[in-house]
Amino acid sequence: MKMQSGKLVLAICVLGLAACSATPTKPSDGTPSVVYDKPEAQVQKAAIDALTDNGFVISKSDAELVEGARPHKMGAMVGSGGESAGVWLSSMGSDKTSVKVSTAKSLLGIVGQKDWDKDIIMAMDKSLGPHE
Amino acid sequence: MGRMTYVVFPALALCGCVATTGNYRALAERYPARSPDCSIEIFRDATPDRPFTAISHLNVHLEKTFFIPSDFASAVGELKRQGCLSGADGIVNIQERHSSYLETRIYNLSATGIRFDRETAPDVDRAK
Repeated sequence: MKMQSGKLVLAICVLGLAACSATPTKPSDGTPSVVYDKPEAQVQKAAIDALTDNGFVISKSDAELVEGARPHKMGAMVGSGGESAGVWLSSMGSDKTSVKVSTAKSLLGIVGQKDWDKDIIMAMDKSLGPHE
Repeated sequence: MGRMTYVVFPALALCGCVATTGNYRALAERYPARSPDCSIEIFRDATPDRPFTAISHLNVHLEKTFFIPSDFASAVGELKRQGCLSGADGIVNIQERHSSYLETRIYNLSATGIRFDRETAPDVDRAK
């Protein structure tokens, strides 16, 4: 009976870990941002494309925040997926937008996860032109 | 129960090693969706010789673990489906990108959905 209870608790814990996804946190004000000489609306669309190009499924798409998560995948060794990323936008005028990117890793499958900040910014550079 | 374990767990493992995400984003005006299996032209290495308007940004992202690669053939079906859903008659400006991370092989296909000028569009839904 005790072993059955122990297995049940373990199963619930594993399911809980699987269900949990990390929430990206907005970088602090002291963190450097990248700046594009483009209007905020255009940069926001580029952020959506950058996330989807890197395998993120968009979960939130506001004028000032685009957020998404990568599906978990099992693998031979460590698998992949499970990360979440957020792209925060801030207008600095009609043709200038400041961008901050942050990736969050989930507990389940963390060994197979990576930081996607640079990949996301590279994809935005490809779409908008180089950032400042 | 023992035999089922040998069937169920490998099946679950295989199902969980591939992720395909397809989506489209309207560039300006939104057009009515066409049937997901509509007839849509792919212009992989050429440009249409008829007047057209770019209407959507299309993207298909394939990731497979176990070092399994993907290619154009494995993604083009979803690309066509997204093009149809965006209301496009054709697909141009196709860009492929291969990358990898650990055992995961990543393939991204992006393109632009286009709509032919209705006076010259062949075999499309003229009612639309």
